[in-house]
Amino acid sequence: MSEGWVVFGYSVVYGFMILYTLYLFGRTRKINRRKEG
Amino acid sequence: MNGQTFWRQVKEIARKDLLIEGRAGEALFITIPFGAVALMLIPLAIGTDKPLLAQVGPGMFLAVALLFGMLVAFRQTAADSTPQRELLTLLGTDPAAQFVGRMATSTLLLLIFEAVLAPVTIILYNPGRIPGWPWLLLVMFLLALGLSLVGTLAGSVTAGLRTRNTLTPLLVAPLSMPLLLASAQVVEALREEASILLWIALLATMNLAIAVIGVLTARPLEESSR
Amino acid sequence: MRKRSLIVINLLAVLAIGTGFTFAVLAPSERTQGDFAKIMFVHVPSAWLAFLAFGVTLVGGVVWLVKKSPLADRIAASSAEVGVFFTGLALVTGMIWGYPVWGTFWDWGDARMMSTAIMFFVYVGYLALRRSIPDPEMRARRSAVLGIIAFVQVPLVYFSVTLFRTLHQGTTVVRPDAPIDPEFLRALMINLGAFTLVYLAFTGWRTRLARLEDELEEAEAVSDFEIAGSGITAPRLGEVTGDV
Repeated sequence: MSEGWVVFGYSVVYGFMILYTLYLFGRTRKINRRKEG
Repeated sequence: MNGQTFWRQVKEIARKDLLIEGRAGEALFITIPFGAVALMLIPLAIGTDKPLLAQVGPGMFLAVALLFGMLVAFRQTAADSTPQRELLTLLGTDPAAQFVGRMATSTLLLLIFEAVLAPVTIILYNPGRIPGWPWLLLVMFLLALGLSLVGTLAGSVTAGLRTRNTLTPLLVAPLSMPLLLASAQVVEALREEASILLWIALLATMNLAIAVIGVLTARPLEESSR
Repeated sequence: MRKRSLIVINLLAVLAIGTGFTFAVLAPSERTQGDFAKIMFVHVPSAWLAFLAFGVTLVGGVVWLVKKSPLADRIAASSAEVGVFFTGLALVTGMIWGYPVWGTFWDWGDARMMSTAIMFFVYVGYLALRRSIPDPEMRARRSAVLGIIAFVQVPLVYFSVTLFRTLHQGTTVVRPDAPIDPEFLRALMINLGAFTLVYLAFTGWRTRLARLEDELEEAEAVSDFEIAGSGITAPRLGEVTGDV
C-alpha cells in the first residue's frame, strides 16, 4: 500500500495543478473571444 | 467628534434597534422558537438514550446558540435598507457608533435567546448538575457578546446584498469557531473540575479583537460613493 | 505584469516542480513512517503557500483601502482564489497522509489541520462575497474588510485548537515536526520553492485574467449607451446646393 498511496497523493496534487491551469487557460480564451466578437 | 457624542449616538441607535425589534419581534418570536425546535429535533437524530443526551446536552445548547443565535445578530430588522443607511451617513452619525449600538442590541437579544433556550435544554437533555455552574453565566455572556460582534460585522459586510441571508451564516460560522470551542471547553473543564481560566481568557481576547476590528473598519466600510 | 514575464515564471515553475519531485523521490525513507512521510513534501508547502496567499490578500485589501488601486484589489482577489486552491490541497494531502499513519482521515486534536479547514471555509466565504457584489468599488471595499477579519482569525483559531490539544493529549503518533535528516530538509525546501513559483504563476495569470474581465465589462457597459448627441448629424449641404 505504501508506495501506491504516496503516488496517489502526488498525482492528486499535480493533477489539480494541471486542472487549475486549464481552468485559467479556458477562461482567458473565453474572454479573448468575447473581446474580438 | 468627542466621546460623549459617540456614546449618545450608540445609545440612540441601540434604542432604535430595540424599538424595531419590539414591534417586529423577529428575534423573540421567530428565532427563539426555531432554536427550541432544533433542540427538539437533535435527539430524534442522534438517539434519545438518556446518558447520551445528558452528556451532549450542554454542547448541543452551545451549538444551537451559535448556529441559530447568529440569525439574531444579522436579523432582517437590524438590516437598514440603502436609503436608511444613506440617511444615517448624511446625518453624520459615526459609523463606529452604529456598529457598537447595533452590536449592543444584538448582545441583549442573544442573552434573552440563551436565557430562554437554557431551561429548554435542561428539560429536554437533563444534563445534571455541573460543578461551578455559575461560571456558565459568564460564558453565556461572552458567547453572546462574541457572536453579536462577529454577526454585526458580517452583517455590515453583506448589507444590501441579495444573497445576504445565506452568505452571512457562511461567513459567521467558521469565524465563530473559537467561541464555540472555548465555551464548550469551559463546560468540560467544569465537569472535570479543572481550570477554566485559559478558555475564559481566549473568549475575552477574541471578543476584544473583533471589537477592535469592527470599530476600526466601520468608517472604511461606509460607502462614500454610490 | 507583462505576459512574457508570466510565461517565464510559468516555465520556471514547471521546471521547479519537476526538480522537487525528483528530490522527493530520491530522499531517504523516514524512520517511523517509511515512505508515507514523503507526502509531507507536497503537504507542507501547500499549507505554507495558502498562508502566504491569504497574507497577500490581507495586504492587497489594506493597500486598496488606502490607495484605491484596482490592481491591489485584483491581486487580493486572485491571491485568495489561489489560496483556496492551496488550502484545499493542504487539506486533501493532510488527510491522505493521516490515513495510513493514524488510521483515520481526520484527527480532531490537530491544530494545523483544524486551522487549515477553518481557513478554507472562511476564504470560500470571501470568494462567495465577491461573487455577490457586481459593483467593483463596493466589492473591493467589502472584500478588503473581510480579508482583514479573516486573516486575524487564523492565529486565534490555531491557538484555540492548540490549547485544546495540549489539555487533551492528542493522538499517540505525532508527525515529525522538523525533519532532522538534511536530505529530507533539502527536498522540502526545493519543493517549497517550486510551490512558491506555482503560486506566483497562478496568481499572476489570475490577476491578468481579472484585468481582462474588468476591461471587457467596462467596454461592454459603455457600448450599451449611445453617445449623447449621436442623433444629430452634420447638415448635408451637398444635396441642397447640388444640381437643381
